[in-house]
Amino acid sequence: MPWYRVPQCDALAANGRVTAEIGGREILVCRIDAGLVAVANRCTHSAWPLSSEPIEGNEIVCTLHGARFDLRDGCPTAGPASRPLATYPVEFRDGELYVSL
Amino acid sequence: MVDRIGVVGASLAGLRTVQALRREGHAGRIIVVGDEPEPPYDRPPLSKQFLVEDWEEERLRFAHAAEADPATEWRLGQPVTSLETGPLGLELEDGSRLRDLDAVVIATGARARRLPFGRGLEGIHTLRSLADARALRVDLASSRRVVVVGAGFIGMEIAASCRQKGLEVTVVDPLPAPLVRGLGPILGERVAKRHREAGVAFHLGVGVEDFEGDARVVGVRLADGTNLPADLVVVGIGAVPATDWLATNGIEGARIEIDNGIRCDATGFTGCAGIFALGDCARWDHPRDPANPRFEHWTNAVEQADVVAQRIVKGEAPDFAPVPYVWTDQFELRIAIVGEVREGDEMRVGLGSLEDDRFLALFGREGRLTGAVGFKRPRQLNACRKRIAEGMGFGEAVEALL
Ligand SMILES: Cc1cc2nc3c(=O)[nH]c(=O)nc-3n(C[C@H](O)[C@H](O)[C@H](O)COP(=O)(O)OP(=O)(O)OC[C@H]3O[C@@H](n4cnc5c(N)ncnc54)[C@H](O)[C@@H]3O)c2cc1C
Ligand code: FES
Repeated sequence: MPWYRVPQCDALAANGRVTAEIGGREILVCRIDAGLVAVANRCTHSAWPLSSEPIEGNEIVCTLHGARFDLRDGCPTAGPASRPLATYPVEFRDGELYVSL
Repeated sequence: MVDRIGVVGASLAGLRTVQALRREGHAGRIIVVGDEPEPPYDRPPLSKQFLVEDWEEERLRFAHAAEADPATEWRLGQPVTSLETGPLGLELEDGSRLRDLDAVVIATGARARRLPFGRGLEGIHTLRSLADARALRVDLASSRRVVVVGAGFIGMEIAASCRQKGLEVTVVDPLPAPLVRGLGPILGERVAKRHREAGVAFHLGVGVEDFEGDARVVGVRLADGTNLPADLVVVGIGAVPATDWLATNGIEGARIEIDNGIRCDATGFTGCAGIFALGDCARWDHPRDPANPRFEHWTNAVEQADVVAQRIVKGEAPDFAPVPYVWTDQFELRIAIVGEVREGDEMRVGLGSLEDDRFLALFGREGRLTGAVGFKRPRQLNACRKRIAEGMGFGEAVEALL
């Protein structure tokens, strides 16, 4: 699985999150209590973008119909989604952000 | 002590009750009986992604741990035919009986309402179950002209889905605008506009008189004499609570009242010892709404499951006083409604305008915020749900929320 550099990673420092389209996939990288995580940016229920949805602790809430996902493993914890969000390895190297797809 | 629990209906409300019972600490046996052969699956995509994106059936299935739990038994493909009281028991269609239950939870949902004519004609569909959706999808693949009878949520979603598949679609409804009951006439018309842009035709303010055809439907005759040619018809005129099996059998002596759903107190208790009901088949008392409405909404079934489970395990639960919440997806529109929209309500639109695909509409009655509709405004809409529950004034809501 190759590593890709995430552009505009300054947003991560400013907002605690950054979204990028990499290899045709929308990825959301965010900093949560458990550290840095990268997940697919579309809710698995009806594809609502998660980029500006609220994060509570280690969970992101898709407010469209109320699905919640644990960002550490992508698993749904409540609401109408049954499938997990895809998660990706993510890391900082030389001040640049990389995800592996 | 409650040990053996029987659940009738293996869908959203039934499954969520099982999960909530386990969360509440119930360790005893649970037997779930469902008449559909498939393991529990999600209905909302049946009128949406299942038709438009040709979703695999597997994708509809609820992922859940209760499947593997040895203390939970699933008896699928097996209708319950009667409920016995004192001692509590259930009789199944194959003649087998579940005896000595300490509690029974009724979660039989609703069935699609049908028209009194057209029986036996091929090409006439309703949509409630996966079996219905399968049959509809196959039949759509060889059809060109579709008539949708009924411009409620399901009818309009099916119309959008069929249009997205390139079919010619006409929607017929006796009301003057689609979705009037859920959205009111102005927002209903807003949705109709999107459908028209996509090429959906409407015949509104006129009812259906009959279906034409010998073996297979070829047209729909309207009350004004119009004849709409059709290769396929979908009837989406609402649903009725699936309580017939109870009404005809086995509740003699039990004090279960059935009146547009199984009547329950505000915690899902039917008034008959050990018997509870929830989801689309039930009509609970509502502490703030004297009409005690029955909801046919996904989120309602899930929220009620928590209340019923608490009531069963702890013997009590706080009265449930929900502000209803329902969503609908049509084309790229993402609409959700909280509270209630009634004719004559005041309406204010903000955070966008009716011309945009993103805005929030607030509805007020007697000076209070009573309903809100969001078009791609989920966060703001959720805030409205809280404010309605708190009884916020309408003027204040317009100031604070728009
Ligand atoms: C096509 C479609 C689209 C929808 N879209 C939305 C949406 O976008 N948003 C939204 O909020 N809601 C939507 N809904 C509504 C939502 O799906 C329902 O509110 C929800 O399914 C209710 O769950 P329930 O378990 O109470 O009833 P159901 O899901 O109807 O389940 C009841 C189950 O009990 C079974 N049963 C009935 N009688 C017996 C018996 N005698 N013995 C054993 N089993 C029995 C039934 O076969 C069924 O499996 C939609 C519904 C449909 C049909
Ligand atoms: S799209 Fe996220 S909950 Fe429905």
